[in-house]
Amino acid sequence: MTQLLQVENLETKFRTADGKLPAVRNISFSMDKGETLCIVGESGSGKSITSLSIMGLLPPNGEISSGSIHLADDNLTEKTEEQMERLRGNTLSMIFQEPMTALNPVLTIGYQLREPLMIHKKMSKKEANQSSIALLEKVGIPNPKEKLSQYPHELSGGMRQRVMISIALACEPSLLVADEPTTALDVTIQAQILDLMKELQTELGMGVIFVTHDMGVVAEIADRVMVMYAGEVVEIADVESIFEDPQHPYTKGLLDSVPDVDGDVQDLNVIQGSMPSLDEEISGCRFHPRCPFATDICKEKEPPLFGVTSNHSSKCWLQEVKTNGEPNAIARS
Amino acid sequence: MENQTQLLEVKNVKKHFPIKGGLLQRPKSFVKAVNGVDLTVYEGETVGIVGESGCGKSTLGRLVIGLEKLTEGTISFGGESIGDLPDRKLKKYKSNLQMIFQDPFASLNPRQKIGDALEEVFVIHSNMNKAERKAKVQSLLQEVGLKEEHYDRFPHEFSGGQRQRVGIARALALNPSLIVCDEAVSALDVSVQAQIMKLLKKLQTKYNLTYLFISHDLGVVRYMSDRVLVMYLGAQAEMGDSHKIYNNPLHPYTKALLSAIPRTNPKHKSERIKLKGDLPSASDYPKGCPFHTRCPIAQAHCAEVVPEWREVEENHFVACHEV
Ligand SMILES: Nc1ncnc2c1ncn2[C@@H]1O[C@H](COP(=O)(O)OP(=O)(O)OP(=O)(O)O)[C@@H](O)[C@H]1O
Ligand SMILES: Nc1ncnc2c1ncn2[C@@H]1O[C@H](COP(=O)(O)OP(=O)(O)O)[C@@H](O)[C@H]1O
Ligand code: SF4
Ligand code: SF4
Ligand SMILES: [Mg+2]
Ligand SMILES: [Mg+2]
Repeated sequence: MTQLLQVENLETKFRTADGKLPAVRNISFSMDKGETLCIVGESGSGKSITSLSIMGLLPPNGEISSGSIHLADDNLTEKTEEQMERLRGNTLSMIFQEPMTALNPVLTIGYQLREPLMIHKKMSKKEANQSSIALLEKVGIPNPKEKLSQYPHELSGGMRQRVMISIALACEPSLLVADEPTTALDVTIQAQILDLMKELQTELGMGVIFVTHDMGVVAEIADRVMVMYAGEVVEIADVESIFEDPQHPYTKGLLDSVPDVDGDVQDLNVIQGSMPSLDEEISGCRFHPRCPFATDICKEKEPPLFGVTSNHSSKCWLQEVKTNGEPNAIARS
Repeated sequence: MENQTQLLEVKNVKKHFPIKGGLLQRPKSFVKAVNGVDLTVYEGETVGIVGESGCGKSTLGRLVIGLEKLTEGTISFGGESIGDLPDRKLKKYKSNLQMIFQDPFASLNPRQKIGDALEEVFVIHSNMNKAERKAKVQSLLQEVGLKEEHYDRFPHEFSGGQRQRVGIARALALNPSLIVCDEAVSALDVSVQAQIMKLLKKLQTKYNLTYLFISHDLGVVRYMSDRVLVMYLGAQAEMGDSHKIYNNPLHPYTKALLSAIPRTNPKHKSERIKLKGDLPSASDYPKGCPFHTRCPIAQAHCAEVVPEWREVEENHFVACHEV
């Protein structure tokens, strides 16, 4: 497998009234071509800010303060805004939870589909129209020709999500970043969209970063899983290991707090407390105030990312005992 | 179920909202938000209400607590029909029923301390003095897992989970017998969601509370509920004990809904039932069975005849011609 994306020691900070605060703290991970990496964690853990850092779409008060992001041979952190603009919608694409944030309400679906094709693929208007119809067909929209002249508000939530996916895929990106694309949808529509995304990914061979807080969605769609907590990557592994052999207490806690639709009697294991805010100083392991296994060292010293297997790392002191203390700084680099 | 006390009885309840249009703003058509629901709720139990967005869950909840007027049907509480209650009794009824919302702070003044906001309930509904009210609010805060010092904090200083605890404290204030929880844990992270669900269960045991638990999350509903009502487009599709609904769903819509949930358990691999298309809009109400436009096993007569609500086994009701 060839590598598609490599993120190294990424740190993203926000200028706030309380000073410059890191929302993403020195994270590293990599992805292969055609792979789906799910980023999971509670709200505020830094999933969206990680995604937006890669896209170069941070809010005005945010900046990448150190680290690098390589997409194939390009170092994205060194690109100008113009260069990033050219990459976005071409080799790099993003879809959002709320399609209306990405779709322009006053432009027709057809216009919004045609534009990137005419700009990036240098198609004529007629060619772009043909491709647009094919794209809408591909994402399962009935009567695609009619839809070209309609406006976003004339479509249902599920249909809008499909349109946004078709726009994101128009130029066959090599990396698609999807931030909670199904969170606002009903389960029956979510199922349709997940099936669609799996199908398209196989067909186009693109890499997908899929942000979600739903462990069921992770199980359904991920090849690998990255668990984030308070701005850090705490565990990263292939999807089977995350569900069958989770190592980090936070990952275990997340899995245990989801009620099981298939179980009659259940006792939920609750993680106490809640996600710290950006300005909270926490010594040692950032999870220690909520961790049932915390010991003295956890309060004093930050654990490194320990290798569990060649494909699995956990940022937790419990791992030191199990692996004879072989830390590996970058998970599967 | 027989030896339990019946608390709430909902009979053939409908709520149709007029859609106004034209020059004279006459009702052109109706949104059939709730279109014939029957439900008996017993003291101390939790009845879950599930279904897709727009199927009428919240409207049903609002009808039950008297926030919305019935178009048709009856709702009785403790044996009395609420449509017939004089105003004074209606006020008593309403304080006996409370609602917890997804965002409990939507109605709060951002510049008012939480303690003062909670005390208002007692200013209106009791003759406690200031000191008594404060003591009562502080004990309520403790009851829901907050601290006395939260009394002096402002709304923006609360996290999502803490907000929901305040919402629960407010609902508990007047010792209600029934609480409608409308997507009360839906906006919370799973860990906080689990904390709040445990709190709700603890309070239920302690005060013999009855819950109507509305959610689009079927896992959450299974965890909370003794019995479950599945709604589709304002109508009742299936109702029964939780384990019957989840282990032996009979209605094609319930089956499809359950099969659509992404599972974390790799051993649970059942074939996903694909539903065609989207939910029809509620103003364009299908003839016959409301589900026939998407039903994978629909027959010709489904588009013509409304299926009746039948008890197919003890305490298990279904509205479908093909069951
Ligand atoms: N005041 C109103 N006027 C007109 N239509 C309404 C009104 N309130 C609700 N509706 C409509 O009634 C139907 C049922 O709405 P309701 O809010 O009960 O759905 P729900 O099941 O709670 O959905 P959700 O899961 O999205 O909260 C919807 O079509 C809605 O648009
Ligand atoms: N524009 C901003 N200014 C300051 N802080 C922000 C801004 N955007 C996000 N944050 C903070 O950064 C952290 C990570 O946010 P985010 O990546 O959106 O989390 P999530 O994992 O829910 O997607 C949170 O604490 C959030 O409050
Ligand atoms: S390092 Fe310590 S506190 Fe942190 S997750 Fe591991 S056991 Fe818990
Ligand atoms: S009555 Fe017909 S359309 Fe309705 S659920 Fe049953 S089989 Fe499907
Ligand atoms: Mg986010
Ligand atoms: Mg609702």
